[in-house]
Amino acid sequence: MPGKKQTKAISTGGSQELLDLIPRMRLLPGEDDATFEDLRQALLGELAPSTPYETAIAENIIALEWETHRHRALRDSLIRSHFREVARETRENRTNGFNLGLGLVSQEAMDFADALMSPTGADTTEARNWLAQNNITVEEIVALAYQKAGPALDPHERKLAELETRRRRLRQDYDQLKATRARPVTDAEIVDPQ
Amino acid sequence: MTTQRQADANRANAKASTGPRTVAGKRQVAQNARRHGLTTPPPWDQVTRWYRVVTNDPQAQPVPHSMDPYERSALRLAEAEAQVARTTMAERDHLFDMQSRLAPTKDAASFLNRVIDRSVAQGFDVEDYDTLQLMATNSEDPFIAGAARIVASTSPTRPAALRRTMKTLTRYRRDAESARRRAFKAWLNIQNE
Repeated sequence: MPGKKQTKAISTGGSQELLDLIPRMRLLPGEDDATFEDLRQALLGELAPSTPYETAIAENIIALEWETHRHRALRDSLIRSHFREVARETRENRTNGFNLGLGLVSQEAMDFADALMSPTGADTTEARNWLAQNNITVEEIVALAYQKAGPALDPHERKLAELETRRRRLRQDYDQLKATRARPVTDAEIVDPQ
Repeated sequence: MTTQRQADANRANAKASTGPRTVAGKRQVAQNARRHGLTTPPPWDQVTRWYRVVTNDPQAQPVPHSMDPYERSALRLAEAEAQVARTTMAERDHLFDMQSRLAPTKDAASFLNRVIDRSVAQGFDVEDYDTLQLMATNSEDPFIAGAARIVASTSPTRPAALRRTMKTLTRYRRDAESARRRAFKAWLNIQNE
């Protein structure tokens, strides 16, 4: 459910009361609970925390990974949106010799842009062939899309750089903590010297 | 030994420090803790719970003025972790609030439903920007519409104010994380001795 705090219990490293302290990731509307939970379980499996403090740091690492995923998705959506716009404009200009303007787009141009956005299909092949016939490459459209997106991308790029720094530092802390902790031997048997 | 040139530069830099200088400004920031409480130390019960996490002892009780270096470093780390948790949650909650307020709606009916849902969930807020906007645009009484516009221009939930609050909360979270890193390093050094 969007926005619902994650409350699933973690079965590693400590009592539920202690683990309730840890600030859980809050999903924004449109983000998928199941995807977050898959990421979380995968990372918990990789990090394998064995104490509450290790679990707390692991949960923070997971949150940073998810925020990174979020900002990447936002950045990529922005670029795709501009790619679609540039593709439509390119088709309009070459076909009609002008843009309809005022935000109006012909159905043909819209279908062309949609086909180009799809990874495979007969329409995609036809769209790419049309580009080749007009000496236009997909990379040119991507470059123009990046140029149009320009300033709007900056906040996401800055955020991604910051998240990467925080994630790296937290991971260092986690590895140092793991290296420091003496591991209790659960099946240890104390032998009476007498 | 600090040179005279360095001392003069330090003195000049200190005068350029940020923060309010007028009586009115100082009075205003004195109320910061009442708005979000994040500039005050974290509650002792949260610190205690974090202390138990750090020491991996569910029964541990932190001693505020302990002379034991391990206990002191663990307590300092617990305080830092509690502050990071508080500021992180405040930042995430605010982001969620911003998203729910600023996300575009497809039509006027959706916008109205959103305002109503928020009032039902959180109670009627006389300073809610969206509510004031509705009053300003739909009120037949020009006095009420004008008053709503004036109040909306200073609403703490208007987009510019929300963005400014976000910057403040992010700064608090960064400061808390810096303090946490220092406390963690100190605690780890004690552990390794």
